[in-house]
Amino acid sequence: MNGDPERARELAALKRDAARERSRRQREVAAARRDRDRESWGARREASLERQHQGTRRALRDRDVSLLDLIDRLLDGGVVIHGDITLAVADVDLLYVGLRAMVASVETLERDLGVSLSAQSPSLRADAF
Amino acid sequence: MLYVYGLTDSTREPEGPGLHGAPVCAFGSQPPFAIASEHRDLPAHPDEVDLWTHERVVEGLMNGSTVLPMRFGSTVADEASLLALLEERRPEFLSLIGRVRGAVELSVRAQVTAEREPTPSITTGGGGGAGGPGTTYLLRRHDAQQRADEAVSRIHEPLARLARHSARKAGGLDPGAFKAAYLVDRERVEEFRARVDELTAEIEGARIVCTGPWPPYSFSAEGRQ
Repeated sequence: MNGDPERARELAALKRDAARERSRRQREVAAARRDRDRESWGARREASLERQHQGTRRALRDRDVSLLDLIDRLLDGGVVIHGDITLAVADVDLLYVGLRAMVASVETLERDLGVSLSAQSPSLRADAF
Repeated sequence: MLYVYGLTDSTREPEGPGLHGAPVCAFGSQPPFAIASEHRDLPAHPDEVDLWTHERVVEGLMNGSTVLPMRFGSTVADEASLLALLEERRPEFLSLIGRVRGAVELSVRAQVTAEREPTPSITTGGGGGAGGPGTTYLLRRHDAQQRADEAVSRIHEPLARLARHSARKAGGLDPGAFKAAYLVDRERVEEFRARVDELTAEIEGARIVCTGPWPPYSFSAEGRQ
């Protein structure tokens, strides 16, 4: 055990490499799984929206509206449990920040639809005066 | 830690994995049961896939059980604290589950036109004649608001009559913007959609978009209507 220090260092390096390789492989597997989930879920969602909205008068991209509605609901609705939430408020804020880029494209649509939380709302424009 | 997706009245577990592929299980020995997955840690920056995964798990519970969805990001330290939470708030959760049983949530967003023509009938009398630009603006805005309110009521009221409960949401600063959630009996969903289409045709300049059925996110807290 406490023999050759060089051998011990080599062993430690080998273990480190093995651990790195293991976690790299885990990351790859996780990434592949997430891609698969994303694809299959996305496709199913689209198909289901397609079915749901057949025959209605719609010029909008269903997926974007669904995403807006999803965000509204998941982040603002649902049962709230107090005390034991370990996702800190700061993280929730970060989530919003993270989602903002994604939602930015949706905001244009939101403006078209008039869901309008932005400063571009016509009522705020200077020429309204 | 345990990530909680929802509370249900049965131990039926959803098919398919939860966040990051984790298996999803039911916890508890009597209703309400909690549907959760175990995680060593969760990323501080969840993404769109995580949101849809949460949604998919909850939707997977909707057929066959009544489910109260949790807000995204709800976690508890361990099974003991989850069971304590269920015990502590059992009456509240059971009453909420009863309230949404047999119904789904439909979302409606609408934009009605609230064009701002000048209103010649309104002028300020006496003194220096017509009001300044500020007054004119406010009057015009008031007028637009009234017209928009009327149009929005023409959308909301008939839809609310088809729903068990409804919840109007803040539509932002645009008076013509409208957003609401409706808790609708499953067997009336088609009727509700058909009504949305009729209203779109009836109300000039109105654009109405309905999505769902969603789990009852907007009806999962007491006092929220």
